[in-house]
Amino acid sequence: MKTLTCSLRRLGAALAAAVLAVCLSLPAMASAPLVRDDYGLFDGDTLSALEADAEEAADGHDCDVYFLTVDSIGDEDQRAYAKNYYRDNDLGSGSDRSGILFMIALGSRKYVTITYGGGVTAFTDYRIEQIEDEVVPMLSDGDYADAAQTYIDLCADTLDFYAENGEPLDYDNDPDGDLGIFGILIVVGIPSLIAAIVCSILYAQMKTAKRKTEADDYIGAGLKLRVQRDHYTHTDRVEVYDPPHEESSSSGGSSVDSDGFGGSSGGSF
Amino acid sequence: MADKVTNYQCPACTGPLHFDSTTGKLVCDYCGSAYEVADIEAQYAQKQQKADAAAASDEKKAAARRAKAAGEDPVWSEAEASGLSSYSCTTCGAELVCDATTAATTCPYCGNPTVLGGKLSGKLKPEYILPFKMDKNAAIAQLTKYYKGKAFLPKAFKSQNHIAEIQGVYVPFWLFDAEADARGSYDGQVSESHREGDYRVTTTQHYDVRREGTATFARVPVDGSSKMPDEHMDSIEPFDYSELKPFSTAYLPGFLADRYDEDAKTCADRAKTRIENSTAEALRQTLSEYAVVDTREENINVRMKKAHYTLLPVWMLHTRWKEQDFLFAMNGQTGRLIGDLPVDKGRVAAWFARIALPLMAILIWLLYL
Repeated sequence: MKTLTCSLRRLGAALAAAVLAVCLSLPAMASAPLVRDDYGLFDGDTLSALEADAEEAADGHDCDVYFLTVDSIGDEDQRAYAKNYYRDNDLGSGSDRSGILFMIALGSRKYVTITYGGGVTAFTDYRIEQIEDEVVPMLSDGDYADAAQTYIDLCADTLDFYAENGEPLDYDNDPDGDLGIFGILIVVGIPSLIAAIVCSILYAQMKTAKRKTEADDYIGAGLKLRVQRDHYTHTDRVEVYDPPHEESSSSGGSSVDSDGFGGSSGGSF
Repeated sequence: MADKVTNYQCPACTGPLHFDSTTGKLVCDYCGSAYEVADIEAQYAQKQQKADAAAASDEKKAAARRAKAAGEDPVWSEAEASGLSSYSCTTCGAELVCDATTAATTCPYCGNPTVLGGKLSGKLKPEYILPFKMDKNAAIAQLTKYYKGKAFLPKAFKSQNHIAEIQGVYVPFWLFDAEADARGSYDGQVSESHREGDYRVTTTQHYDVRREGTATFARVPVDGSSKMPDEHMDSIEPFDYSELKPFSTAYLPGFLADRYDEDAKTCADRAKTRIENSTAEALRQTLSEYAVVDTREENINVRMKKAHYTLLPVWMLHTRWKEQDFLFAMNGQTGRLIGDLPVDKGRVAAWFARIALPLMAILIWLLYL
């Protein structure tokens, strides 16, 4: 009986310790920074302002928005470094660890964007390219705070767009987007084709003299058949391996690597 | 010397007669009297025969002169050298110079319709003639209508192409009767496709198909005049042969007429090709139940039977526009009109822009605004 009481006490203590550990860890998890200035680029006020904006951007979207500064990444590829960082630090929101991370390595002046989980869907290749096109020139000019702010604002717009429209911002639904080659082809090509068809019909009306190659008007009672034989000979059977496959969009959307990360391959600023 | 031409004159006032396509009678230009073709034909048969005989006699003499000249230095007249013939108008005495194939014309001085002797007689006499049904006014109206709705036609063309100069011409045609024997051997295939798991399975039933048959062709037309473009003459087909008449020169006054300069043998090849193509197509239409047909062997044997020399009615307008020739032809019986029109490139560009630019604006609005 004494042994049983002792065991129950130990179990109770262990459970209490576990509950305490979980309770203690929750504030730490909730306060995991979204703007991670490992390099020490920003002063306290700037960092706080950026952090507040990043939290606001991610709020309600179940997709965290990270901005990371590091010094050197050595010889490692910036994308591989960012992916490892994302995994090692358990970044992302929710069970599928959704998020977007923009990393700049000031030692090697490299940048990269990676997405994971729901972030892959929310941030299309088209949109990531747009964000980088806005942010990278600022990095090149040394306007790091403006670059970070712009990145967070664009991420906020992107997540809001996704929430409002139910589809990610892409080349075909971007209200501010350029035409792009595909768009130009549609806008110029289809009307030109229709105009060319109409003009060719009108042109054909201008040239009506044509040499005849048949004499159908003069065949009288038509062809009178005296032999009409249809003799079955054999049947061929051809099997072609053609497994059913899911439909995939021909363009747009997000590219994903074998590790499940989206984003860009990065570059230098 | 006997006259080589015949002017068909009104028995009442001796005014010139012309064939009126709407009434089918010969009508006097002056007093308006109308006569049945058969009546005038009977009156003028003897006169036309004399004109034909005189022309034949002249031709013999000319041939003798040429034969004689062949042994000496050639001293041919300019008219003979260029294949022209000269005639005297029996009404005003003016000299008519026509090319060798002209059979009926109008005197340029007195305006009288004139039928030339020797061009449509003997071996050159047509078997049939199809009289004009549409008169000049109808032809002009049809041509004016043809211009309408042609978006690319230069505006100035309509006013500058002398539409009133449209002329009725009896064009020499050979109408070929033929019988085509067709034999074909084919591999006919009927296929069905379905899915079995990850495989798409296609089964094809093969049939040994044989077809043999005969098609009879009646009066396939080929124009016998080298002056007439084949494309134009082909495109105004078909003619309604139920209105063919035995040939009579009484249908010619008021129109131009040519005799053939390409004989039946020369024209038969074109008719044969057309007949072969139509027969082959008719043979293939009997195989419509097969999705795929591979031809193993196909033979079309055309037996040309008879060629009927016939004059068919065509309204023609030749006009020039910016150094280019344009020819229009209209079936004088059905009114079917064809011809190549000049194209205003500026109008083509304007039409292209008028269609493409609004569509581009709509697409931009739909896709990006």
